[in-house]
Amino acid sequence: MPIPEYYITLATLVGIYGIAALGLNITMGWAGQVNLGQAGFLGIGAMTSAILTAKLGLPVGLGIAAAALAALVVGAVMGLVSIRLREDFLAITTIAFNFLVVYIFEYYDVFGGSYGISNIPRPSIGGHELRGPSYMFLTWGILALLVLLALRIQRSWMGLAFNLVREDENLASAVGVDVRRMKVLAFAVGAMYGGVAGALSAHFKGYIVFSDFEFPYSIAILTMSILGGLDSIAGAILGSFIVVVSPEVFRPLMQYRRVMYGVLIVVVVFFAPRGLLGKNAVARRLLERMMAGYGLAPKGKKKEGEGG
Amino acid sequence: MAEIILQVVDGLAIGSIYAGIALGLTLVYGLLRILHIAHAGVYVVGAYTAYMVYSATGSPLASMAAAMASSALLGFLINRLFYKPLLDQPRYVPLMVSIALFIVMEELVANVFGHYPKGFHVEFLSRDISLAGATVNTRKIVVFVIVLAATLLTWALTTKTRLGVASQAAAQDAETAMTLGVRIPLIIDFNFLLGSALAGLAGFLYGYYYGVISPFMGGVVAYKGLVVIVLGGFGSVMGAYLGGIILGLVEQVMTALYPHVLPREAYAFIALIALLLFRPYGIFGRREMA
Repeated sequence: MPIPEYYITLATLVGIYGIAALGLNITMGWAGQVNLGQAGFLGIGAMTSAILTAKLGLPVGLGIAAAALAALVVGAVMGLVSIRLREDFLAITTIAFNFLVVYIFEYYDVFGGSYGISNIPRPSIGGHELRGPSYMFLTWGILALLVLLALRIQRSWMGLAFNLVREDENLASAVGVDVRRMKVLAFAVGAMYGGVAGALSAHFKGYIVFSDFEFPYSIAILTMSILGGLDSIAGAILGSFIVVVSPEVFRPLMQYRRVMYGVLIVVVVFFAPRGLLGKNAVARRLLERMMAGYGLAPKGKKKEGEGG
Repeated sequence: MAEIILQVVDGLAIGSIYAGIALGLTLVYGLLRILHIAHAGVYVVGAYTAYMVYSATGSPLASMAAAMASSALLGFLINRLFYKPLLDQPRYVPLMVSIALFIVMEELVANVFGHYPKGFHVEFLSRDISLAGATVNTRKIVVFVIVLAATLLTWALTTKTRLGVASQAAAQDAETAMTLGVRIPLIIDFNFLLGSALAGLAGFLYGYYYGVISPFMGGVVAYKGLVVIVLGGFGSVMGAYLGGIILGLVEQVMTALYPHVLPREAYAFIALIALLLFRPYGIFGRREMA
């Protein structure tokens, strides 16, 4: 019995937004640099890949790679900005960035203006177009690669440096961490994830328009991140799952979808500030205790520090 | 010439509405260092209160007063329920909560009153007069005058009264002010009540000026208000007023001169990024205020 297409669509979206939220976790959760404009980076990735493939006829793989690169570069510029600005000033700058990106998409014909770009091709392997389940596997495959990359970063010297920058910049530079470089890297890598997610969504839907990347989408992605726990890799995917699936489960509440994001943020901040799977988060401790009960938990306190 | 006058009058009127919103933001930021995005939700609620009361009574004055009262109460409650418990968190935490609250308010208004704009025609001093060859509606002048009066009143309240001086002391150094007997929670409540009442006033004036209100009228303004207080230097009443007026004028003139380069709203955000990077203490402020 084939799985209904509806579930395939949901699973694909969970993968795409999981990538976007994971990127936000790297910038915000690990390195402590506030980014309230992640949807802007999705937009940059989506537009780059859409223009290269739909308008210039280049292969989709190249489009997605270019999307990652474009978002990486713009992210690095935002990282340079974050050297000068802190906390809430940085936060409103990233909001302004999101607004500006969307205005530029809307006003210039290269980006399809107010009509958007349509006929964005699907990727194909050996003349076989990927749709339905195969596109879902592609998305989850890329997600898996990006999770591996995130794990590598987290366990490397760079991951430690990110955490140090987040906790205490002065201390970080005192022990020889190049704080500026780490900020630029954190933004660039997080934005690159956003760019890949944007490109994947463009090839999934086949049609994009400026309003797909407006500021409220940044808030939706932020909701996923803080819901799952800003410092947790698995949390980003869980957050994406909850935010993508719950409006579908509560269909009658559809018109209150955006209210739900707002309420979720407030509830999480007040009652579970570390999200569901963050370090020492309630849900994580429960889960670990349950696993320990079945003899599944790793021995000792080793898991501390392994956010994944 | 007539064209220039028209643009300037429009810019002043729109700038006045921005100023009305920004005054409350700057009062809150000066004291709590919270970027109070939900202020725009308070403004929307004020506009809809004005609409309801005007529909019921037909009195512009009652409508304006009701808008200010409901907004003041709402702003007061937001502080007590949501900001107060978060003051020791990193500064982006209350900011996130504020954005979330704004979304909730916006959507609730939309779901209660409908997603589409509502006509709101206030019959008050609304006729065309001739001003140096240009035809100008008196509403624009009324908006300008009311906001100017409210600003002067706010300025007087915050500089000439005991409560206002205490509030300034609290904004500069809360701990010292507290040891000198300033009751900080009282000051915070005062600033929220005053600032939110001004947002309600701006909501009423928006309806009066455009003849229409919408649940999403706070959408861009929420973030533009931040531009205005950065422009005027954080925490400064007169700065916020001038910042609002300047933003209104610049938008109007830039859109009239270069209609196809960027949409009207974009200039504010360009200005915001440039200012934060190069003059974070505002265009009037001094370096040490940053």
